[in-house]
Amino acid sequence: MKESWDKTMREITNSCSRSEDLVPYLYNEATRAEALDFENHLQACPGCRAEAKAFGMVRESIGEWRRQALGASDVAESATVVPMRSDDKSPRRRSALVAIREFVTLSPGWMRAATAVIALIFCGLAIIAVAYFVEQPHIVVVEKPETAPAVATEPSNDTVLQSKGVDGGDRKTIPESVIASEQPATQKTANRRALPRLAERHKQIVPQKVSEPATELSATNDYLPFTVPTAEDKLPSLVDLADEPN
Amino acid sequence: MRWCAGEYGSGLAPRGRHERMETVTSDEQVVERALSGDAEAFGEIVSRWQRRIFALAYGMLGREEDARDATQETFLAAFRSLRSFRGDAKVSSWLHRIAVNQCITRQRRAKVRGETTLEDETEADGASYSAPAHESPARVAENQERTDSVRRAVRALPPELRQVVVMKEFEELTFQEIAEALDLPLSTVKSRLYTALRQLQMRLKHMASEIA
Repeated sequence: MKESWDKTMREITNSCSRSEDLVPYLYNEATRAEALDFENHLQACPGCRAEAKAFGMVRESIGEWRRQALGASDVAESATVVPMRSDDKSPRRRSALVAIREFVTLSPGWMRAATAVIALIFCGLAIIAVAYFVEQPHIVVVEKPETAPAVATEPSNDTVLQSKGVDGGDRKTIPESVIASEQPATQKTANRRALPRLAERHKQIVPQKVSEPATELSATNDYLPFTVPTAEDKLPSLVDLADEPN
Repeated sequence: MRWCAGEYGSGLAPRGRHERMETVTSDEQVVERALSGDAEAFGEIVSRWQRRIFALAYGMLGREEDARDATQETFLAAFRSLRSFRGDAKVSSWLHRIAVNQCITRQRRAKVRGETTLEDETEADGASYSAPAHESPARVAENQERTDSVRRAVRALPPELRQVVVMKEFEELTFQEIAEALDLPLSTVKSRLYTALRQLQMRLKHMASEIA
């Protein structure tokens, strides 16, 4: 292939000193005098004559290509500027990977380094943010039955336990330290764990027959840290009891 | 706002500089209007030059799709840098310079991305080419083959030679206009064109001998 190429080059070499005058002559940009002068030279110089012929063929080939490519548009004479339609889509859409690759390849070194540093900082901040939010304590909301008293947290230092029944009931304030001692488990889980034990206590508190006078119970259960309900009162639910300190 | 090269035909018949001189308002005056806030003025520049810029881009890039994009980018770049246009050069030279730079940048990017180019693909230009009815299929095929060869040969030229050939053959600019657009001495333009034609002749002959 190389030999063939070299042979081609040798064949077309034109050593004539006026060979470059051929170009203005060929493109009709020589003055009349220059053109006449070069025509005279062509008759005497076979090298330039051959080259003129060869260049003419090259120009013909390019012209053919031009006609094929742009020929149709030569006929079209649309004077308007056509706004690009918004729905026009490039047939070759670049993927994000290609775009990144192009950016990396074309960017200067300092820009690549800066991008890498920014990316690292961003990743570090993201990790710190995730770690911070994971360690945040959960705010526990104790679900209560519709008829049961509610347990609510208040923004004060002490948490108020509402053991309010349908009729209003009474309130007991639990020191924050007591609640904090139960922090390892969630409030709900602690309630569930306390349920069997409290149910036992509930049996002691609640008379087998609610219709019996409560005075008897209060006489025997004075050690309890809460008021024993009377027969007219509705009993607090197990969930409410579970919230009470042991 | 975006413009596209439409049908690559402008209202201005760009066949020669003489016809362009008939234009009532010069390009420089239109640019002045655009600079003074006339929103339609730059559109007029686009409509005047889009066809020629497209032809230049097509010759440089060899693919219609790329040429269309490059034309678009040329006018966008020109619009953005309108305020920096000092009027030292002609508007045409300014636009051509932007277009050439756009094409070169585009080729460099394509090379980096490893996209297929004219050299290793045969674009279906022939599909849109309607051959004259009197031509035989063999003749059509021969023309097509010759066109493909010349496309490849032009593409293989170094950029500094290719742009001169394309400006001359596709846009039919004068040597003086090419020199102004590329900011080169007139003699350099002539010698580059001569070198380009010689290299094209060599390559075409070489391709013909390989086929044979």
